[in-house]
Amino acid sequence: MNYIRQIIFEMRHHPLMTWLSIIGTAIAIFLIMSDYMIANIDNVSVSPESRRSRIVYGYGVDIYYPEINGSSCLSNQFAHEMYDNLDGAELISYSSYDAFEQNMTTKGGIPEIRKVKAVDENYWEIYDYNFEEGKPMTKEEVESGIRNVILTRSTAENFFSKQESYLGREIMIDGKSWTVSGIISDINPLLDISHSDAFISHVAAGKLNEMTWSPYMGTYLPIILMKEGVDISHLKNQIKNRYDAFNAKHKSEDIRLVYHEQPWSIRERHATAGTNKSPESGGKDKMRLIGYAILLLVPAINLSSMTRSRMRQRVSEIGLRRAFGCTRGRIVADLLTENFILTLIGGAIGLTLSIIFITCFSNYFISYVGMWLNSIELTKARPSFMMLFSWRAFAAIVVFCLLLNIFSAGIPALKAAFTNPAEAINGLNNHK
Amino acid sequence: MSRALLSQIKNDWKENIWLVIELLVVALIIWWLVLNILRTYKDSQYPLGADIENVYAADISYIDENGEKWNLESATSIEECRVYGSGLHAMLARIRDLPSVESAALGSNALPYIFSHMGGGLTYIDGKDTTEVYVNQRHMSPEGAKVLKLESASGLTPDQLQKILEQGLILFSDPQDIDIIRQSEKYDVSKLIGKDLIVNGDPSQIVKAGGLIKTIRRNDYELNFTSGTAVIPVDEHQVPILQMNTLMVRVKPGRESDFEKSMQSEPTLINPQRVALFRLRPLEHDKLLTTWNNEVTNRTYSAGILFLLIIVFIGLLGTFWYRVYLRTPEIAVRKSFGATDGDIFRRFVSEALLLLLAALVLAICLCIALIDKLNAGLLEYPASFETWEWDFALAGLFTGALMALMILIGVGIPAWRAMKIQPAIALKEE
Repeated sequence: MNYIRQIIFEMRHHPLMTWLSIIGTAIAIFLIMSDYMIANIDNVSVSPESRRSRIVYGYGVDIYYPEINGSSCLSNQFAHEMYDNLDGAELISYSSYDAFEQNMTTKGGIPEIRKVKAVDENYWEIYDYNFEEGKPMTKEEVESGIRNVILTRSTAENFFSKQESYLGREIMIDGKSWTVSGIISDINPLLDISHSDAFISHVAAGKLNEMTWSPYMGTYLPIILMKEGVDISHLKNQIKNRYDAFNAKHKSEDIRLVYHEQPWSIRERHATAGTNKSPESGGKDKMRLIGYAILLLVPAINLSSMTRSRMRQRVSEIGLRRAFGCTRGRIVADLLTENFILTLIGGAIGLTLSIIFITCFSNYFISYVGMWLNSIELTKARPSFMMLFSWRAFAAIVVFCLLLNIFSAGIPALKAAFTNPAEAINGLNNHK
Repeated sequence: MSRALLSQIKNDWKENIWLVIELLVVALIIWWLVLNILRTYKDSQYPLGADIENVYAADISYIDENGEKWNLESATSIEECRVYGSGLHAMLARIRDLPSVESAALGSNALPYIFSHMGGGLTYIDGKDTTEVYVNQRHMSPEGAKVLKLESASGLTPDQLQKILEQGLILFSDPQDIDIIRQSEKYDVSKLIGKDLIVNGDPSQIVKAGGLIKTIRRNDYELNFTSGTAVIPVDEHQVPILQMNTLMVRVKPGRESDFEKSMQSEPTLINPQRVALFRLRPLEHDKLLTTWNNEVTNRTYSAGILFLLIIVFIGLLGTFWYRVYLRTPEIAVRKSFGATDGDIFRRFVSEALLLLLAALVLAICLCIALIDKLNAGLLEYPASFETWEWDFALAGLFTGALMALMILIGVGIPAWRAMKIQPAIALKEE
């Protein structure tokens, strides 16, 4: 309680310095947390990607023939060859790597471009979509090639007049008629792999644009749900061995696969452009940490100067406390605690500002290096509050504030504590 | 510069060292951010090679008897090709007849703002001398010159370029247009006009060069360091036209909504016989998507500069506010000995500007010493110091000016407060 009183006293008697300290802290924390939370969107687990930390992706194949080379996603057959029966995998889905834009309309209506994703039955078990009507596709439904489609709520509302149920209604996709078999809640476009306006069976979708010149390349993405406790490196090792076995088998034909550390976590996928590169997230994380260090260091120098100013004005008080037997450690701890509370106030303001900023404007600052930026809608996508709300973010803010506090108040507090009590009481503040 | 000012800076040396370090770190970061924005801006000023305003594009697919989408390469009979060709011609004719349409053409890898790259060589053999120009091959029907308003390198109009394409001649660009590395070669490619050129090293593929255009870039921000452009004409009445997968339409200015309504209200325009159009969109959409990451980078860098300046402002405001407080008696004495308000103001501002100068000198030394590492490690396109020295200097000047402005505001406020000190009152309180 004394700490709070002391801060209120400071605010009354040195309002400019105290408020500048708070504003400086708020801006630094705002900058760091805005970047941190945008980067952390990859780690957030929200429906339908609630099990994100356990989902990894067999993204891409990079293949060299004697005269030519190329990279893309996998063909259906090759995806099964490389990813079936992995130890440590609970479920594997083979679905289209992205939702493709198609003309969609009701019969006789005006066609509009909508995103359509071709999936298998396991897809619905890996991701937890919220079904408002109907149910996920079964294995029989997928394999029969029946033209059923699952729509998002907003897509259904866009094309159909409101009735009791949308199930059983007809919609034209790609010039063909499909029957609505399910309605799911809308998905945030930032959840790029699970986001789409419509979902159809990959068998009913027909040829998913397989590459005619290579039996290995196509548009399939193996999506793997790892068992609890399994580390991604366990799967990477198995896939690496399969790549080696493939290369040994095809050595005489001079066909060679280049292994790019598949499967990838969502973070690795988003940090990597293309299918012919290895994940680059490590380098980006390092740059990000350097950026945070600078963003902490610059305001810390500022705040340190201001903290020193405030300490100078309290030097006689500190001298008096030392004269009455207060230890130096106690004085340092008290000054750091006071400053930490002040930093936390600034941090809370910074965090609030960053949440407001991200929910209102973050789409202007989110780039899509590894995502397939193929719709205008994605450029308008912003994370929901639930995507920002995480204990990790709260832990981060406390850590950043603590670091800022130690950087900015550590030296001034030590200097204040080591001031000679007699000189301090006499006002000879010789710690200049 | 008075000796007193230097003494004063020396007296506060501990605080001033921290201020210089702060200004140095901030100057280096802002310098690097400004340099990147400047280079990005300069890249974006190269001509695109085409005008996409009022241009729409759509993907073309072929539909078989069962209503399935077909890859044309899978078509097995001449009859199938004939049916598709007939549908394609009918669709193109109807679109050209729309009152809102100015011109329409078919193409493959023809448009800017897609990242496809059909790289290949155009080789000219003159006796023993061989000249090869590496180009991104863009195929289009002749009217494409008008749809995209291709930019001639020799003052020809799009109509004249269309006529060249109609004669079966290719248009190509000088890769040195945008190839900053090869610009020093100064090879005159115009002497290849009218000559037979071998495509992709295959002697059975001979084309004749008909005119020079400016390189059609893939993106406003991407400098294609190695490729020029070859526009290869495709006759609308020959079989290869079936391999064109893109429809491109130039709409009359102000008639965009009429065009969109026409396309939507007549389903047979979208789905004519055995041919289907997908993803009809203004080319501006493709531009937005393909330049998005660059725009985000620019915005992020600009925001970074703004916030760093605010942090510097707050730091200077706080530090100098306190210095004014500490120096109140000194200011009072100086004023009582005849110092004017201007003298007091200038003293504080000069003190801060000198500290900035020290930080900038250190920044310049560090940058020159570390230029190679900065280039290789931090800049997106590494370049030699010599190539970028003017950008480097310009960015430095701009950084210095920005920070000086921040100092004038940040220090100006407490300096103005110092000016208002009444000597008698201040000394009495002391």
